[in-house]
Parts: sequence; C-alpha cells; structure tokens
Amino acid sequence: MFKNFKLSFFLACKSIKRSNIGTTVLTIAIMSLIFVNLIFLPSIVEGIAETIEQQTRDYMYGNILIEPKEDDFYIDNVDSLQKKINRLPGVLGTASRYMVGATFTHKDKFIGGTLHSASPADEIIVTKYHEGMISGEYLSESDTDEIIMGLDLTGEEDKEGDKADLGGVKVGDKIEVTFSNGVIKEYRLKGIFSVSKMGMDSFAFITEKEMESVLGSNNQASQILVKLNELGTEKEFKKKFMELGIKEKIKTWEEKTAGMTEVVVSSFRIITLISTIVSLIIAVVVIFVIIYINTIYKRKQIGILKAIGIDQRVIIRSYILQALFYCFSGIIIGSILLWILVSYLTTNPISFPIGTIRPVIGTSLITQSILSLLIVSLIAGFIPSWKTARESILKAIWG
Amino acid sequence: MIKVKNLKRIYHKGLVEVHALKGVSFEVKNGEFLGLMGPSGSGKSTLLHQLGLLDTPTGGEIFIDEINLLKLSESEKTLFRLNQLGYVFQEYAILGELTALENVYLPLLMMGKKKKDCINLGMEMLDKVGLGERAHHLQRELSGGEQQRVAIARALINKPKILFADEPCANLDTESSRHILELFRKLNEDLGQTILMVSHEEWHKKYVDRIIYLKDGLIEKM
Repeated sequence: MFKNFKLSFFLACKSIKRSNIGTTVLTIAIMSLIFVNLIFLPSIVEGIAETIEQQTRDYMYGNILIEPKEDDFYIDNVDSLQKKINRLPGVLGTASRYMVGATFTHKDKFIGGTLHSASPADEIIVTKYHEGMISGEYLSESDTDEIIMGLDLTGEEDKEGDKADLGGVKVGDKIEVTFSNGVIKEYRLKGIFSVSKMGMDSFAFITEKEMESVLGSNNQASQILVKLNELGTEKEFKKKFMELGIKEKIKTWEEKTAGMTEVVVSSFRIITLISTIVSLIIAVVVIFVIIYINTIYKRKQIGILKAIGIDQRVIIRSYILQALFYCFSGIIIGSILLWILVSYLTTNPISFPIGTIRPVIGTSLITQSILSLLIVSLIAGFIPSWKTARESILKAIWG
Repeated sequence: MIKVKNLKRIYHKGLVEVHALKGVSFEVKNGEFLGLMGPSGSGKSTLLHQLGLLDTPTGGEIFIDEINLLKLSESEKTLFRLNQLGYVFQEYAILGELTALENVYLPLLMMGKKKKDCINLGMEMLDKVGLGERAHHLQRELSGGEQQRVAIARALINKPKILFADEPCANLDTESSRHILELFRKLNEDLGQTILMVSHEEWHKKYVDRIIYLKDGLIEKM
C-alpha cells in the first residue's frame, strides 16, 4: 500500500509549495477555526458539568453522603460514627447536619426554606461555605442566636423582581425563624453567602448546638458528609464503610447526582453535537472543494502523469496527502488558537448563572476531534481525486 | 518488434459511430524512425494512442516484442508505459508545478530509483537535449521549444524501447522544429532509438526512415 509513497509525497509537496499562497492560507485558517470550534464548545459544556459536580461535592454531599436507614428520620450515635469514619486513612473529615423545614420572616416579608445545622469546625474541612461569605462572617462554635443565610433567601436590597426572598436583609438584621415543630425564634443575621445558583444559595445555617436545643435532640443527624483526600476513591471507601458495619444508607456523590448533571448539560450537548456536525460538514465541503477544483484544474496534468506511467494510486495518494496537510496544519494552528483561548478563559472564566466556568479539555475530546477531522479530510481528499484520476488518459489530457 | 494486426478504433459520439481506424496492419523494426502522415482525421494520432497504450482499440492486436499489449491489465499497462514507452505530445505536456529537472526525473522516482540518482540522470538527460542550464526553471519560465525538449528528455529518461511523438513540432516555429527533429534523428542514429512520429509537414519527411500514409482510417501507402 505504501509503495511509491515517496513519490506521492513528492508530488503533494510540490503542489502545495507552488500553489496559490492565499488559497492555502485561507484553507488552513478555515480548518483551524473548525478545529477550535470542534473542541471549544464541548470544552465549555464539560466545564459546566465539572462545575456542577464540583459544587455538589463542595456544598451538598461531600464525596460520600450518609443518610438515615429506611424508615428512620435521623442517624443515631453520630459522634461515634464520625469518629469511626474519621479514623480511616484517606478520610479528610466528616460533617453532620440536621435538616429541617423552616419559614424565615423579616418585617412583612417571609420565605420558606431548609434550615441546616452546622458544626463550624467540621464544616470548614468538608464544605466551602466559609469561603463564599459575601457579607458578615461564618458561624463559630459558640453561636446560638445567630444565623447565616444564602443570597437567594436574603435577597438584594436594590433588586426588585418576582423572586421570593426577604427583600435584601443585611448583616445584623433580625430574622424570625419558624421551625417545623412550631418553635419560633429570632436570630441575628451573622453572614450572607453566595456559593452557587444550583440551589445552595437557598440554604440557611445555625450551629448544631442551637439546632439540637430547638429540636430537643442529641447526637443525631439528618446526614453526614464525608470528605476524602482523593477524588475517585469514593467506591472504595463506600465499601470500607460497609465493612465497618455502618448500616445507614451510603451514597457516593455520583450516585446522589445521578442524572442531575446530565439534565443540566443535555441541552448543551445537543447544541454541541449540532455544532460538531456542522463543523465537520464545513470541513468536508472546504477540503472537497479545494481538492476538487485542484483536480479539475490539473486534470491535464493527471492525464500526463498517467500517460508517462505514474500509477493512479500514487496520484490519488498525493491529493489525499494534500488534504491531510490542510487538516494537520489546521489542527496545529487551531491548537495554538485554542491554547490562547483556554489560557485566557482559565484566568478570566466565563460567568454563568451556576457559577464561573472554565473550559475543560480532556484527552478523549482532543483525540475525537483530531480523528473526526482526519477522517473527513481523508474522505474529502479521496473522492474528488479518485473521480478525476480514474478518467481515461486521453479524456483527461484533451477533455 | 512492433506488430499491428487489423487494428480498429470506433468512437461513439452520441448515436453516431466514428470509425477512426478501420483495420490497420503493419510492422516496425527495432531502431526504425517511422513517420505517420496523412491529412487531418486520417487516424494518425488515434493509431499512435493505441500503440502507446493511451487508449484501448475496439479490435485487432498489438504486439511489442511478442507481448500482446491488449491482454495486459490496467496496472500492467501502466507499468509497461513506465518501463518501455516514452511520449512526446503535440502540446508541451509538462507539469507546471515541477521544474524542468523534476519533470524529467519523475518517471525514475516511479521506478523506485534513489532521488540522488534521479537528479544525476535527469541532469545528464537535460544536458543531452541542451537544457542543462535551464534545469531549475518552471514551465512558465521556458519557451515552447524548451518545454518540448523537456518533454523529450522526460520521454527518454527511462530508456524506452519506443518513443512516440504526436506532432511534436505542431506548436513550434521552424527553427525550434528543426532542433527537435535533429535531436530525434540523432537519438535514432546514435542510440538506435525506435521512434514513431506523427506529422503532417512535408519537410519532416527527410528526418524519418520510412513513412506510413494514412487516409480515412486505413493505410494508404507504406
């Protein structure tokens, strides 16, 4: 198959070298933009998916979430359970939470939501709410009459709209909390956080000690979040927890979010797929047209080559090599453009409603894009050259 | 060396059949410089195309050194053209993207020779046709006569058994034509090169050994 490959290469090189420089530059520019498009849009979608997953780990579930057994409302003996888990090498920390329904009222405004308890020292290890404080401070262990709330609950002072919130309460304002058990208590707003628009900004926290005093419970929890040292070891630790005799429901963050990320990014993926198909069609058309015009223009030359005994396969291969030259040049230039773009967006991430998004480019995405561009270039290079090269010699030379 | 038996070529132009060759038979000896002459439409170029395996006859047989050319497969024909035959066309059929030297050594590359050898042999051949100094010029930088000499050098580079020339002087002035014909004559005399040349110019007769006259697709006289 590769017999006389050198001659094909020789003919391809001469053809490229002595072709119109403007056409060559334009073709390579189009191919490089197609390559950028093939990678960039999916990389943003991957960035969105990764941000969602990161946020669910950092704010909702940790790496592994332990929930009460079937038919139980709370996990019992939480302290000993946490100690047992924390002793395992590879576990960074655990945080237990109570979760109760509550109504938050400020003056004439009120809103329903979920109130969580937090053991601040543990939470700081397991979650990142403390990093997302936009006003005031995070909770401390000794706080009893203080609450921190997400921005979606507090609202913003100057923003009028249909959103249900407390109309822009500020740090220091008094918030009346009606617990699901009927207890009503007033708290001072200690801090406001904004971490994500995936629902976490609708959370509110009081200390565990305060929650237990309101609920009249002790050493219980609605959930325990477990933070691991290493991402990707969740299944292994889930098994270890079961071996420790933990009877509660143990779920990895992936199991908890199963389908959730997919729901959010599925529409983006459809757009990406359409964009990919359109890009590949443009690539086929561009290379096909270039090679087709080339072969039509050089029809006589092809006839001469065949007449002097140059194998038809050598001629076809020379055009395929030209198509591959455009393809690889496009990939190289496109990679440089992509590197510049990704470097810029890594330092200046795009602000999306769910948070800031950085493009994520995986090896599989690059491989897939290179392969697809390569295949369409091969096809688009082969068909026109094959069509022209199989013409009879006399017809090719004299028309 | 060349045996042609009852060679026919019919073209189909729509519903009309054009009998370009109606049954031509003749022989050509090794080292002979044969002229094919006749009026326009007599079938001289068609005959040359059949002999040079550029076209496939409708009927008849062609033998070169006892090989029945029409029994060869397409790839065998390509190889035969490469190794045994050389062509000079009426138009300056050289490749515009290649220099004179590259045009000349192209068949050698196809034969699998090393590039260095190809360049050396190509230069030698260009020197023989008097174009050594124009070796690195592209087609657009060469005159018509020079381009035709490049085509001749390319046709001879593989030391072909037979050189086919289809009105090689048709687009040249008298002076350039004389140079080309003298070159052919020299090649024929010095190297014993077998040449089949189509021409319609009476003054070309003096350069060839023998002439076959064609008229309406048949041999009028030999």
